[in-house]
Amino acid sequence: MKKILTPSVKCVLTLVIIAVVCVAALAILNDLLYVPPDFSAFSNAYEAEYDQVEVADVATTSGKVLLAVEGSDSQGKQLVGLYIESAGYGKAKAFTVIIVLEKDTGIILGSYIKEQGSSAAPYDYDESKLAALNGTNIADIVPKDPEMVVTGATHSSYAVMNAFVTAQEYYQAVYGE
Amino acid sequence: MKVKELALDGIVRQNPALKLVLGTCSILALSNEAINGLGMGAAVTFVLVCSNLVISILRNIIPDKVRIPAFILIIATFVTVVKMLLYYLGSKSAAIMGIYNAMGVFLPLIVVNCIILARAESFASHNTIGLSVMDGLFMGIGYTVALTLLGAVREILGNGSIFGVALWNFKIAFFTTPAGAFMTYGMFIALFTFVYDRIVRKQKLGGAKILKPKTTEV
Repeated sequence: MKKILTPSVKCVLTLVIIAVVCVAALAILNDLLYVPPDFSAFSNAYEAEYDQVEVADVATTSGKVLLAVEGSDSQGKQLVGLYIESAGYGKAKAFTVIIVLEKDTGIILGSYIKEQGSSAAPYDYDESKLAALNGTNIADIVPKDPEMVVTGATHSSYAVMNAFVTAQEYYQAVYGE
Repeated sequence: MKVKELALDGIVRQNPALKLVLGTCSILALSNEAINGLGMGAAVTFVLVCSNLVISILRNIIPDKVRIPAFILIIATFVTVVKMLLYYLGSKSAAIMGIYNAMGVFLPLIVVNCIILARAESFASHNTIGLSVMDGLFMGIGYTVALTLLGAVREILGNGSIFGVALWNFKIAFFTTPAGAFMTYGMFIALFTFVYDRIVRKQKLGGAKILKPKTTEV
């Protein structure tokens, strides 16, 4: 027994035991201090129950999908929620936008700007203009369409619309025919 | 008596921030507001006390050759605990979440904070449990006091507020910048050293008045 416990083995054993005890303690604390994910920001866009799903590996040109959720509303409508960081446009920096779509059709049910990117110009962000996009199919989004301007400043409007383009690309790649 | 010595060492004679100049990265980054300094100080104190406690308990078990990796493992565990704890408390209170977010990358980086490894290596691995805990506590208090005071000065001068409460509209934006952090920190060290040296010199002379030597003009 003494021969087996050479100094090197003793060193390794000590480290392994400490590591195992530390991992066990952390695992217990992780369960005790677990904070469930908060999807209230998605409910700001569209009131429903959401569950997180894995973000699919889709190449998008105008932004990045940071978080994807699926859920259903009180009428049983199946939904897809996307938390997107849009690419900036000119002097308007990236916006983070939440977009909720109907899973089967791709119709926009709600959207919500969570964080506004900094810009040299005032955003003049108009919630009613953003709400006017509800009911539009995500496939019909044209980022530079004068009918689809959501803020008072052109660059920041394009930066927001980049999030919708990202949602369009993601939806078509993951849920499209 | 020993506790008094430890308290004096941790808070004044070997103050980690102002005398030993350890943990400078987090000091410069998180002294922009007094509340951030206080939060970081509390986190470091927690890790210091807990890691000193465990290292002191295991000091005769851990082989000398692997003591540093073993210390790092223990310290990393407590840093993870403090991170989870802060996030959990942050989910209950927006103010704590604000501190958690302000700490950012400097919270996990407590693992490599020189103060913690230095105390583990130089004190906790050679002393009893009680003394090691006391040492961690007083070192943590010394660091917290220095960081909070530095944060308070920078916040007052840079933002015109203290602990988020507005005092006046007069602001010098320079103090909120990294350059302002360096300058204020340097001033703090200079002031601390000046006052400390005066006190030590006075004590050595037994309170006698320091007389300047007479010079003869030629």
